Amino acid sequence: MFGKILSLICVSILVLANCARPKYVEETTSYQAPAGKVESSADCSNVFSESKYCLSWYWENKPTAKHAGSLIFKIYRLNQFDKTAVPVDFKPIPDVVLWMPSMGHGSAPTQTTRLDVGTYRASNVFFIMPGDWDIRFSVKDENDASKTVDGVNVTISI
Amino acid sequence: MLRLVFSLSILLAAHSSWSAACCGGGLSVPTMIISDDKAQFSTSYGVTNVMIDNVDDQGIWRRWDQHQTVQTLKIEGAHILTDRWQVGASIPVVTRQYSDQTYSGLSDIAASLSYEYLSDWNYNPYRPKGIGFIQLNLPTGKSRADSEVGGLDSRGNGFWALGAGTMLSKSWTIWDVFVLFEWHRSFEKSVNTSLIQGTVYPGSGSNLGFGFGYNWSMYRAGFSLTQTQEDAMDIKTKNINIRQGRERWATMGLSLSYLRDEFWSWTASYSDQTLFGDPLNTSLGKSLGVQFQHRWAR
Repeated sequence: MFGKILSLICVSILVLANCARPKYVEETTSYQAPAGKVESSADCSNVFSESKYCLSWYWENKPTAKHAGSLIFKIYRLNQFDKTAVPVDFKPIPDVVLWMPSMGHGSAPTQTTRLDVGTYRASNVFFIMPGDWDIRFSVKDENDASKTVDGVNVTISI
Repeated sequence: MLRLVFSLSILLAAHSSWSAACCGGGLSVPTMIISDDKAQFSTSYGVTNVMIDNVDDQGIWRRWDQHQTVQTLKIEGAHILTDRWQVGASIPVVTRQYSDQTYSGLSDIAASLSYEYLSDWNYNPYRPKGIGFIQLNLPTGKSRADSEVGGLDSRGNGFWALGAGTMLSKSWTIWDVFVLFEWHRSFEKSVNTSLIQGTVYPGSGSNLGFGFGYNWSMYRAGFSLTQTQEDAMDIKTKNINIRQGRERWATMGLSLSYLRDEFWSWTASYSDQTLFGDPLNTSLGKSLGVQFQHRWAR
C-alpha cells in the first residue's frame, strides 16, 4: 500500500517537474538597443501620472554586464498654443530608480545631476542581470525630499 | 544492517538546499537524523554558478557573459531528545561574487523539531519510516528586499519563517527511496532602504521532492528531484504598491557517498536547476558540493 503511494507521489513530482524546455534570448554583454535609436523621443509618450508633464530620455553611455552607464532625461510640458516642448525645472533634482518587478529587487542607487533647465543626467545606471526592468523617474516634494509627489515608469528589456 | 544505517544516514546529504540561485530565495531542508543514531554533526561546502541569470514571468531564459557565484559553508547538527523526538540546527555562511564585487556574511540560521510518527521497527517490507517536522527560520541573512545593490549582498530568505513538513523513507537491501513535502510561511517586515520604505509581505512557499539511492559496498549513489515554489512578494510603500511575480524552479541532485565506518561518511554532490521543471521569475544555477558527517550511535 505504502509502496504504491510512494510510487504515485514520485510519478506526480516527475510529471510536475518534467524536463525543462528553455526559451532562450541570445547571450548578450550589454543593453542592445538598435543603432541610432532614441529610446524615447519628444512625442510625450511617457507622461507623469499627476502633472501630466512629458519625459524623454536616451542613453549617453549604455550599461554593460560589467560597467555602469548613464542616461540623459528631459522633463517638459507641451506649449498650450502650438504643442511645442517647454522645459520644466524641478527642485530637488528628480530621482531615477531601477527596479526589476519580476524578481522583486532593484539595483545600485543612481546619481542624478542637473545639466540645464529640465535636463538631467542619471549616472551609475547598472543592471545586475538581464530581463525586464523598470526605470522609475520620480519628482520629489519641494519641502520634503523623501516624499515622491509625481512619477513615470519606463519598462525596458535588457 | 550497516548498509541500512548507511543509506538512511546520508539520504539528505546531497539535498541540503533548495535555494534559488540568485538572491537567496527559498528555505533549506531541516537537519534531521533519519537513521537510528543518537546525534550527528555535518559540515559542508558548496559552490553554485548561476548559469541562467533571469527567467521572467513568460518563461523566457536570459543569460549574460557575467554570472554570480555563490559559495556556502554550512555546519549542521541534530540530537535526539527521546526515542522519537529530535532537534536540529544549521548555521550557513554565504559569499556571493559578481564581477569584481564580493559580499559575505551569515545566512539564515534554522532550527527544527522533528517527531518520528511512523517507525520502521517491525521491518515491514513496504511501510516506510515517517518523520514530521517544524522548522523556524531566523532572519540572520540579508533579504533581497533589504539590499541596496539589487540583491547581490543578499544571503538568505531574510524573513522570520515557520515551516512544517514530512519525510517518508524506506530501504530495501541495496535500494532506498524518500519522499519529502515541506510548506512554510514567511512573515512580513518593515524595510527602509533607498529603494523601499514600507512593508514587505513575502507569503508562503513549498517544496515537494523525492529521491532514491543505490548502495554497494561502502558507497551510495543517489538521485533527487525537488519542485520549489514561492508566493508572489508584495511590497507596500508610501507611494506605490509592488507585486513581484511568483517564483518556481526544480532542483535535480546527484550524489556519491562513502561510508568510512559507522561514524564517519563523506558525500560529493552535484545539483542542477536547468534540467527539469518550468521555472518562473528566478535565476538558475549548477552546484558542486562536499559534505563530511560524523554520527554517534545510540
